[in-house]
Amino acid sequence: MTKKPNIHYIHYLSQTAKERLVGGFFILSLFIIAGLVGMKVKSSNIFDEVITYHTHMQTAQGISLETLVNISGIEAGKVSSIEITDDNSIHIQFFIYKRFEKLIRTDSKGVLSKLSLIGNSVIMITAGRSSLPLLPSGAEIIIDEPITTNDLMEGMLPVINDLDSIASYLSDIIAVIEPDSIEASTESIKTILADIEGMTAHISSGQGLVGKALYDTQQAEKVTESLNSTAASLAGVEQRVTEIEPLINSLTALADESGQLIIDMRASLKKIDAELEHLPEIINNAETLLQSTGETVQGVQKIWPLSTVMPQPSKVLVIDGDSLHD
Amino acid sequence: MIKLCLALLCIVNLIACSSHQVIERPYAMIQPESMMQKGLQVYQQDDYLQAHQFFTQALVLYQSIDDEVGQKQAKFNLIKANLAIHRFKQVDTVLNSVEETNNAEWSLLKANVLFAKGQYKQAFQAIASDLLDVKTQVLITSKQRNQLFIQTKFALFADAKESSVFYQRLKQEQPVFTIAQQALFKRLDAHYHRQQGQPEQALELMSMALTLYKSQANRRAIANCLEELATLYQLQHQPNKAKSLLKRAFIIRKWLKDDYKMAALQLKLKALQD
Repeated sequence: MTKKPNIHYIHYLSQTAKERLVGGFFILSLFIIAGLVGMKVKSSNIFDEVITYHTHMQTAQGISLETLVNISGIEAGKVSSIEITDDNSIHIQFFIYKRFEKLIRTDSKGVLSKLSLIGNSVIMITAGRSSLPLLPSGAEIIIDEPITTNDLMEGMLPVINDLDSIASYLSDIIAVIEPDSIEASTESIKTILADIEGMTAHISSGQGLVGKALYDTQQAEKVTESLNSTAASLAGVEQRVTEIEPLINSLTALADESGQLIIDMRASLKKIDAELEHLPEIINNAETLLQSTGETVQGVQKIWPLSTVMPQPSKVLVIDGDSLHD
Repeated sequence: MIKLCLALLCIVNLIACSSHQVIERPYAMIQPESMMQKGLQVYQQDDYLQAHQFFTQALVLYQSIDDEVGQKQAKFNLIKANLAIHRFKQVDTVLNSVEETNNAEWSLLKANVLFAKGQYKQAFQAIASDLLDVKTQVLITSKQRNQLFIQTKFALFADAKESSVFYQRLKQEQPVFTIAQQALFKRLDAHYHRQQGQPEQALELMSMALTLYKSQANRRAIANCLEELATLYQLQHQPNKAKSLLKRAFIIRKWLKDDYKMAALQLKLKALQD
């Protein structure tokens, strides 16, 4: 038994066999294309009989000539025209395939899908009761309009207002802090400290503060002055404390809110951490993907007609004649 | 379903029209070749350290399938990549690991190593058995002309008596030179004139060679030319010009990550400053 050489079968086929093979591929492709065209024609209902209805809307958000019409979740038709009427409302004409006609009764109503807000709109019509008469062709079906972007914005307005009030609340807290009051308090404290310093100096001189205060009238006057000054400072401090009290209360509330914020942040960080654990795996996958893409691109470059225009990688593996200029 | 059928149809048609290699080869054979090609690519971009890494990987892969020819090719490339940035330790290590190096290609490589080390006489002796007969031989191919260039260069640097004959023959071939060959010829011409005691002409020719090398953006050759031009200026007692040229050469060597030449240039610059 003769063994066939270990090369691709194409190399030992005759010219006629090669031509037949190519012809076979060509005819097979033609058949497949014809079949696909037929399937497409069938699935797109081009030759189906249709019934037309229409509706009026104030805002046709997301509706175009590509918008589908659903009856009880089944794709049953499409929008055929959109016009603007004299009273600035929008007149929409749509059709449904004849085979769905019996689903449209006089109590049938329509609604525009909520997804119209983000672009994908579908007119959904409810199937009517079978006891009621069929809706004739050309009749109007009332379609409920979904919320618009403006409605959505209006809904968000209270939230924005709340944010605004929080900002003004913070502004009030900051406004309570008066630089002049703080300066006055600081001055008073400075005076107290100076007096205490004087008293300490007298004690360190060895004369004894209490004796001097009792028997030395001059000293007693000084002590009285100090006490008066201290009393005035204390009154100032008390006033500052009273003023600062709402600030402290606000800070306490702020601290509570910050606590909640920190809890939320921790939760978010945990989530990020969990996501990061998958990062090396993602990188590996991306690397494999890139490698595969590189190989695919290299493969595609070898395919006609790209192979005729793309420079093919050199088969030379050894550095040649380069050290001549060294 | 339709999309899937269309995709399948496209794939069938693409395969039918493809001109890709029909004889499948094992991946273990393609992988080291791919490494070698990557190495060649970065070598041509003057990234010799990266090229060294690719060739080393290729060598390991060739060893893993016991491909002796591939191993030899990888070692050859490894030597060239290391020689380009004067890493003589690595060059010698690889060179010593090659068993049979008696053919002309390996003899030339060994001669190039000796030349790069500055052992010009030994380099010329290493190619003595493969010298072209310049009086009778007709040079047809570019490879033959390159051979003449090599022996003229080695002879000139080794100050061999044959250098004049080689140079004259090279001069006859001048009209058919490529730009790179013209640049090298000008450079060798400059050396020839210097040896003949004509430093002015030598300077002019070397400057022309430098211009030609710049048009080719051949970094190593530009650096070599700058260094040789600096030597010529030094001989003309113009140390400032020499210094400026050496600084320019230093920047190129730094880009090439050629530590050996950088150290040598620093020494030369220091000597000029003193």
